[in-house]
Amino acid sequence: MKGRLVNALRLWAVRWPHLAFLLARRFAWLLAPFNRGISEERLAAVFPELAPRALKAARRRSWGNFVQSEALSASLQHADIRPADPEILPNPGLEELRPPLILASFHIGLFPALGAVLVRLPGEVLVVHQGRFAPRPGVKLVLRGDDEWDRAAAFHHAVAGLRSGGFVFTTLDGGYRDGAYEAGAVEVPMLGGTISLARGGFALARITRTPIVPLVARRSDGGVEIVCGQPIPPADEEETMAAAAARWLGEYLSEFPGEISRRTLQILQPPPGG
Amino acid sequence: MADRAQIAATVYGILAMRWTGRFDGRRLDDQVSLGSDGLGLDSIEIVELLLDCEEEVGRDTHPEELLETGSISVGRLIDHLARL
Repeated sequence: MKGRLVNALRLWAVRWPHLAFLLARRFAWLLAPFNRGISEERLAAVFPELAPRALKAARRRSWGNFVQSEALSASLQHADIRPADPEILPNPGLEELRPPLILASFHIGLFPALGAVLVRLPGEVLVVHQGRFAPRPGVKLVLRGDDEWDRAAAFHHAVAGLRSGGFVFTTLDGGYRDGAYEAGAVEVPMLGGTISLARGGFALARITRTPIVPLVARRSDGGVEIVCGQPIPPADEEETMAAAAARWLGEYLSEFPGEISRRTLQILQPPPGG
Repeated sequence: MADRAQIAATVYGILAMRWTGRFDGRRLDDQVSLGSDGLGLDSIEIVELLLDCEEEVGRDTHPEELLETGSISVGRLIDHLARL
């Protein structure tokens, strides 16, 4: 039943993106009592300190994020329809960002909402993505690609974008298929376990000597809140930058455990016995 | 037009220096692909090689033109650089 309802929501989102996005929230709320979302057992393995009540809230939150992300993603599949951009709450930190800069996100929270933020940045933005972003003014989209040649072309676009003084938006957990990343991974500690992150963003920072700013989107009552981390300085060792990114993500998820996603659980090895 | 032999020496030199020992015992000639069907460089390494070549050659080598065409062999890279 869940699958059918989510599919129906995705179909509505293609034709009526704004309505579907609003319905998604209501739909998530209605089904939340039926154990939807990431199970409390799985959440407890990552966040053993959480009380049962907090685990339940995190499960419900993960379900709401999933449903609303599905509606947003579906609305992006038709370039001729204006995507259902949610209300983005003002964030002075975002407006202070200056290029060249790597904006690096994770597939957590309301990830597809980040597309609406990129047009607000003061400079050209290049997005290396896998089809979850819609065309927008001032934003150049580059598909990550399926083989090493397409991926190399996308990576070179990103290097050129930074060298010409722009922003590059990428994900640190993107390109994960069949239990591995397409172009290499860095494994670093997080939440007492180990997380596997894609090398691309860190290699980009190392080659272009550009800082990385973590960026995520979180639902709140008045709209969507954008959270920027402190810049991670470029380093010769990708592991150094990856460790800093994982530290930031771990602290963020500890504060907002319901923002975690199934993708995060795929790439996170909890501590032994966790 | 640059001297092809000189460019070839530069490209083979970069391959040997950047990935010391990695290609030992493997065929390393103009026909071999840089990618998974040859030397096994991943997408990031391919771009790093192209950027190193650009730095050595000392001018814009338009790597995007080369990447647009898909699979790149060592010989194709040398020809591309030699044509500039």
